[in-house]
Amino acid sequence: MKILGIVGSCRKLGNTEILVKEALMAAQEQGAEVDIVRWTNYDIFPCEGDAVCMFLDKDCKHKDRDGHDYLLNMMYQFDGVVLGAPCYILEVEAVVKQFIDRLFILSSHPSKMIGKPAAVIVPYATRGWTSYAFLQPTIVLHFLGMHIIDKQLIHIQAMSETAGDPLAKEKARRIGKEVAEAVRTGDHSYKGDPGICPVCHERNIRIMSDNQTVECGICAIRGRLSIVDGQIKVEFPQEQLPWHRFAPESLYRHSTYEIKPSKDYFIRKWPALKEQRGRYKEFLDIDRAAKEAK
Amino acid sequence: MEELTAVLRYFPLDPVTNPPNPIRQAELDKLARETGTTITLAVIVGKSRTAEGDVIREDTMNSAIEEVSQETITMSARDEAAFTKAVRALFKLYRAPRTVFGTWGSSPSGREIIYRLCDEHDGWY
Repeated sequence: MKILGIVGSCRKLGNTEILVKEALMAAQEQGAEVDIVRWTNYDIFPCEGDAVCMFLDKDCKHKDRDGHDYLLNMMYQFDGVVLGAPCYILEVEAVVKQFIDRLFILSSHPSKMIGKPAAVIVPYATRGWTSYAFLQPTIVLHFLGMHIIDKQLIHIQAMSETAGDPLAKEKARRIGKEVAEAVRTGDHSYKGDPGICPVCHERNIRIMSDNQTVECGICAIRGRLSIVDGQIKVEFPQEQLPWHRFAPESLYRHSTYEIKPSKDYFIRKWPALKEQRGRYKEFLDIDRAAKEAK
Repeated sequence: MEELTAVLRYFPLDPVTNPPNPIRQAELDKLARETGTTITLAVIVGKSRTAEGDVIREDTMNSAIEEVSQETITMSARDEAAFTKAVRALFKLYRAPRTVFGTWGSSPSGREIIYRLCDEHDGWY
């Protein structure tokens, strides 16, 4: 049983690192072999969106130039994950989003994390500034096909403050223990706040433009909102749940029917577009300032 | 006025399949009568498609858009108001096709109207 702690924070011995280590200590006490990695120690270049990894079935052009492929393959060696990242301005640190964008590679090199358990720890400083704190961690773990079994916000502010905060450490320990137990028993039931969405357990519900339908923006399942005895209720039809955005069959179909046929579309459009885009090449030099700075 | 044509391609991830809100010929016939348009439905099954329950597999990488598994609604009208009304109704039933190539084959004027109506309400936002 191997559990990896991922730290999405630059701060050395900061609260995220301490909390993830605390979780790993608890997992180790459950018999897990543990290790830790700091994603921000590695360059993760932006995805260039040309989709050659899919259309030409090639490795990403950045594969040997940055750390993404290394970090992804490192994850593949583990049975469970504790992902920690600090919440800054409403969301966690950008390294998580950088990692997500490069997961386009999964369309040609399928994830090896499908069905493995994971949990999320997000330390934050100010109440009310965490609206999307779990958004990117949820996306990255679901995109990889993992089962998220818990997510915890941990209120903390001073540098390394968690080291002296037994309540914060207890939350982290519980996460570590839960992931270890999930790996050992195969019980991946969700232990955190049930939230509103029955799939991702988030509370970020979108009101669609028909002003009748609501949707979980992460999972893309749709339901109806009502107020019963002063309580807001959102009901999602059961038949929607297996078709949430990150279900393996949904992801397969997205790639197969919404991305891959665009190759034919591009080929047909390219002769005209090649000519039409010429005037934009002539208009202003977008790289001028960068060239002059060199 | 030139004939306006909308070709709306629904691939196997759209609301028409998951969860099922199937496109029914009878429903399209009713809409055609109500709007004074011509509406046809074509069901295309890709050559390499296999299906086992909800799990379908298909190699679409090198297929022409028209040959990929899909349900294609083709709607035509000479009257812009009728055309617009029918597109709005189709979006309400099935939402707009999800991809840019989901309207491939529409007439240029028809596509312009579809494009504007998507900004108004495409069912996805």
